Amino acid sequence: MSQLPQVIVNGLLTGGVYALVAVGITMIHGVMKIVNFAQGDFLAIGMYLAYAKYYLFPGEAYPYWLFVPVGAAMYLIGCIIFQTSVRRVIGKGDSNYILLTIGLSYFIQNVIQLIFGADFKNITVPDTLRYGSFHFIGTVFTLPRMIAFLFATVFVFFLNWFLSKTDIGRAMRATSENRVIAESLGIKSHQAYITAFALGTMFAGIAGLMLSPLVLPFPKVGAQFSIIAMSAMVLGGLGNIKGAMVGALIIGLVESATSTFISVNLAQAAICFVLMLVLIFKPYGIFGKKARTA
Amino acid sequence: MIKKILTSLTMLTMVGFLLAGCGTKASESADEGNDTAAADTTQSDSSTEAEPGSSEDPVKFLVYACITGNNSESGRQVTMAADTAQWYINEKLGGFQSLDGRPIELVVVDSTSDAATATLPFERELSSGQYSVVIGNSTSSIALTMLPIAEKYQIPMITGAAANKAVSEQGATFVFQPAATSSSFIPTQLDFLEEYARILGKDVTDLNIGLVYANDAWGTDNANNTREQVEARGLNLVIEESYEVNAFTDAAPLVTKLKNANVDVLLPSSYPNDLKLLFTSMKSLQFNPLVVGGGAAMTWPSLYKDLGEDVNGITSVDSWVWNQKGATENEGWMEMNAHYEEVNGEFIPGQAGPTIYSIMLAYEAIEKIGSTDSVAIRDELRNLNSDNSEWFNVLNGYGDFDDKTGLNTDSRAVIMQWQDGKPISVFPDEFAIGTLLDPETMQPFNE
Repeated sequence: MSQLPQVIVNGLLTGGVYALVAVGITMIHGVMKIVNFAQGDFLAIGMYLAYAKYYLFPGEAYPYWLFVPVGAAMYLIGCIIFQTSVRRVIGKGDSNYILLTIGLSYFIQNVIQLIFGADFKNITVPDTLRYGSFHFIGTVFTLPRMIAFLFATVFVFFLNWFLSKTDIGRAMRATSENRVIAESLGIKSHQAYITAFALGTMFAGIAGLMLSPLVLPFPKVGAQFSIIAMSAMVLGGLGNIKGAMVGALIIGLVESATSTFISVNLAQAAICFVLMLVLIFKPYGIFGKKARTA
Repeated sequence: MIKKILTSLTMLTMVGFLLAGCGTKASESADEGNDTAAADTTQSDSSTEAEPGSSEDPVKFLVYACITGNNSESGRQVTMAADTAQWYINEKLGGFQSLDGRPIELVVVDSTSDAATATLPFERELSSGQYSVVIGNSTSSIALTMLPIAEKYQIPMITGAAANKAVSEQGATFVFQPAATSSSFIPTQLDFLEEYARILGKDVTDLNIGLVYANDAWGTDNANNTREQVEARGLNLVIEESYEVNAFTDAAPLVTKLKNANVDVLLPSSYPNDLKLLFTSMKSLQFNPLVVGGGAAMTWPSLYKDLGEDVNGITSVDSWVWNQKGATENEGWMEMNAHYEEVNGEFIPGQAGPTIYSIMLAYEAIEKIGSTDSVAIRDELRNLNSDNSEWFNVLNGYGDFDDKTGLNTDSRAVIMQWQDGKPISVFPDEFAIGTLLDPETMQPFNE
């Protein structure tokens, strides 16, 4: 049990990474009521945008200064994808968006493969970042994951502020509650949707940037994060940003504890088991609420 | 109206990209930053072009490799190996002399990395009737699925680097497994560990051994053999952990577990992404056991790209090291070695070497019989051994293909150590030409 503090730290830091992806997918679902199955592939795009910099300008460098250009590029990509495809399936039934976003996922993977090739790439970062860590009460905190965790925390606070204190945020919330009434009150639902989707895409891309010192980019790198992000979203409550963060942290802790005390192989099974348990007692997730009926 | 036109154009572009993505060139998976001047090696219907100067129908070999998916690094190496072998055979040897100089054409086809779907393209290719030999797949789990199809079409299949002995234990009569298998890997790995411990002034039976392995055909085979050997030698296996390939996103929990088990020696059997996570976490968590890898990504150029100079001193077993004795003593091989390095900017790694010698063994068999009849090729391959074959001696051991199983009955593994960013063969002395260095100083040990 002497390893318990390290297990908790590992779990929280890993959960922070998952939260980066979960927050984006939750944002999209919360406003648009669709699950974006291509969210992990947006993460892959962010990773490859970071890789492109290192390819064009070789040399060790910290990737974080790419935060603004990658974020802006991903926001633009989200706007384009929404305008050209996603907006046509909103409110059109339960299965259309599933087919569209799964197709989008395959499309993105193939485009990445076409441009960059199928093999693993590498981003050369300074050793101070790659191996960076600091000790606190006998527990090791790895630097890249600490940074990802801090970013995730900032994102959650930012999103909460954005959704509650800004006009566009309130418009997004109103649109998610009832689009017809929101539009009758003069709210432009299209603007709300495009902002939500673009923000969700941007967060996924930035998550990819944060992960680039840790994980080798390859075309299907986003798949494993997609599944975990969706699990976190469901665990925390659909459409609840704070819930997504808490869900991601819980998943990180479960994964860490199972891997350390039982088996690495059983980590995914443990996550699914915990998800099942929570949903039995709280069918709408930890912070989820039943939809209001007329 | 304008929006509709723009949307339609965008959708058409997306469909175009999708179709183009489905026909990704294999050569685009080659290492970035290197101009691969070798002929384009493309998938499926397109084939590597015959070298200029010959108008004869080429003799076609199918090279079946994981160009895409989790094992794409293997496919990259195999593709570059095929380019090199084709260059050597056509330009240096003048093609098949016994067939009036017909050139060789190596057609690289993507199996993907998914064993469940790998049989479909394979069957499609073999049904075309254009191939005399199949090279691959170097991934054991995929090679296993190919066996019935090769048997059905009676095409000899030489499996490159595939290391799970089960490949030659399925009763197939057209398979040849030239590379050392896990049953050879593990004894060599543990023999080396004993020697390493002796040099470090330790008793190997006092060391706590940790085993980490990918949960696939190769990894589990390594693990099974390790357990048997460790028990037989009275060594101390304190922990073993398997994991799904590319499924874990953080190795910190695994490393924490290893650290708390007081592991002195780690035996990982892993692929590139997992190794990167493992080594990075080990260094971050300040866990520095002795590492003797189980092959695969431990010996690939990708490890040097991921870890930089920190790779130096790490050791691993493998069926192939570019500078093993048999390779350095073969003039033709060293010509290919120089060409490979010049074109690709890296040494011949663990998937490429076995691919090249598989191709050369098949070439030698065809040269001896002067025929492309696949059954006759199969029969001639069975006759090849280290006494009568120029290319058999590139492999470590005193090999001979078993007449019934196609297994190279005396293939031997070799231990390499990363030195100056390159793997150098260091053990056993019979097959290695380098010297083991102290990983702390990268200087020879003072024994």
